[in-house]
Amino acid sequence: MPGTDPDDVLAAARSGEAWAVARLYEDLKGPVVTFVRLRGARDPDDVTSETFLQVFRDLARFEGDAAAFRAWVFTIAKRRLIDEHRRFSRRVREVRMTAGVDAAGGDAADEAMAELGNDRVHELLAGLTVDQREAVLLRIVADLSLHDTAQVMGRSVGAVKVLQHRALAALRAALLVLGVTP
Amino acid sequence: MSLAGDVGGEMSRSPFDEPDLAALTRELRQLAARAEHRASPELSAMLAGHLPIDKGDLPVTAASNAHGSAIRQRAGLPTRRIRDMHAALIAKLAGLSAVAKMSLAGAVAAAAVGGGATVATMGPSPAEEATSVSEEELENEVEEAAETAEAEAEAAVEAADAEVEAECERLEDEAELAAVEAPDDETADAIEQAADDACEALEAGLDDDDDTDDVEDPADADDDTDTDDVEDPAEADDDDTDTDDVEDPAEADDDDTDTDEPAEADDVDDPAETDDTDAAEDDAEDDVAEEDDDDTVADDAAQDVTVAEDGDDDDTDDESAAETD
Repeated sequence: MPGTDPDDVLAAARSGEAWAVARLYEDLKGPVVTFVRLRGARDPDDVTSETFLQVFRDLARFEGDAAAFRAWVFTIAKRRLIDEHRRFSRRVREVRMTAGVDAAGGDAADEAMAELGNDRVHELLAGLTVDQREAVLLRIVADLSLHDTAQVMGRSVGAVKVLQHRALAALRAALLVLGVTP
Repeated sequence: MSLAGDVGGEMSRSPFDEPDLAALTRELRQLAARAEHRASPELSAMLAGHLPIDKGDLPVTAASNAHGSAIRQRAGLPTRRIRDMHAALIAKLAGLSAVAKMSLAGAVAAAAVGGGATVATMGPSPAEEATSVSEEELENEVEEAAETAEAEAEAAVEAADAEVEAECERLEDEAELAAVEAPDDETADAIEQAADDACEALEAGLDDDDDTDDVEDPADADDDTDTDDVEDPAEADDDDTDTDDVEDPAEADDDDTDTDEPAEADDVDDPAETDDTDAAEDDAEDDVAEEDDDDTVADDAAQDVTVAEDGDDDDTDDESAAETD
């Protein structure tokens, strides 16, 4: 019976257990694909695939616990994203969330609500700078701590705190403009 | 429970969970939870069970970072390097004593014969296979094994002949190239004479080895085929000529031409070397035209002549001694 503790899953994946590798992928694919999509990836699926390919290739060399692993995965995702930007040699474009998101359910109402949510999220994040958006995504979508966020972004914890503070202020202002009440 | 849930304890205290931002935070998290990923075929295959997680798949990389063919790379040696290389080689060749030449030739022949004999002994022992059969069958198998070993030894001797011949050709080519650089005809003659002597010594060494019984007697071959003794001609050379580095053509080859041991037939027959030599020859001709006034080169060449003459004398004496022995 496969264990459910994240560190156990990680250890099993490192030792080559296929179920554990699949479990890591299932747990992280959503956050990773959302992160790269909202960060402006032209082909989020491809960037995510490249990310996991490298993760699983280098898994045996990774050392650390589940939290460190999560930060490591997003570090790789960010690098693959940069690679993609270099490949296309273009400015990062805002990608409409409706373009590539598959709704979870088959219910038309749920899909419509998801579309509305995507649009709203996209609109709110569009008012942030690239760094602010990255900090917000790493904190919320990737579920990383301040320390891990700072590590992935290659900045100090203090710098991430400042980015986060300004991002929050910008988001509050945007919410007011959009007339969204908490 | 997901990894996200376990490591996200800090999120409950984060400012993103404040009332005015809670809705946005929730939407973002739902978005991540709902997001689907279309895995690439490569990732799908990896997830299907082909997990190269031990060392990772080795990427396909070129054997060399340099562009172009090996032939062109080798031919692209700097002219100065080629000139120095050949000058040093010829100087060493000219100073080669008969002892060094003989040892080199012996090592080449022994490597070839030993290699063949070693191959012959690598299979299962006939005696071992015949323990469960009749004595007659045992004798037949032993005879067959002996015949096979003999045939392989003969083939090895032929290979040694070919190697020596190729080595001689190479030496002559090198000498010819060096002769082009020589300031006068005497020096050129001396260089070519030195190369001829070296070839004769190689052939003489091979003839001596052919006379021995090692090749023809498989039983002896079995006993004498210590890989240490026969498979490493460079080592044999070291034993005999370490005291005089100048005399060892094998070392000269390694040091100055960036090629492998001369005993290897592949190197000798390598078309890259031929092309390299041709290219170097062209360069050398250019150099001769450019550096006629170079006193240093002339002095070096004069030294080469002196050394070559000394080497010839030594050869004569040593060969006479060898014949007497």
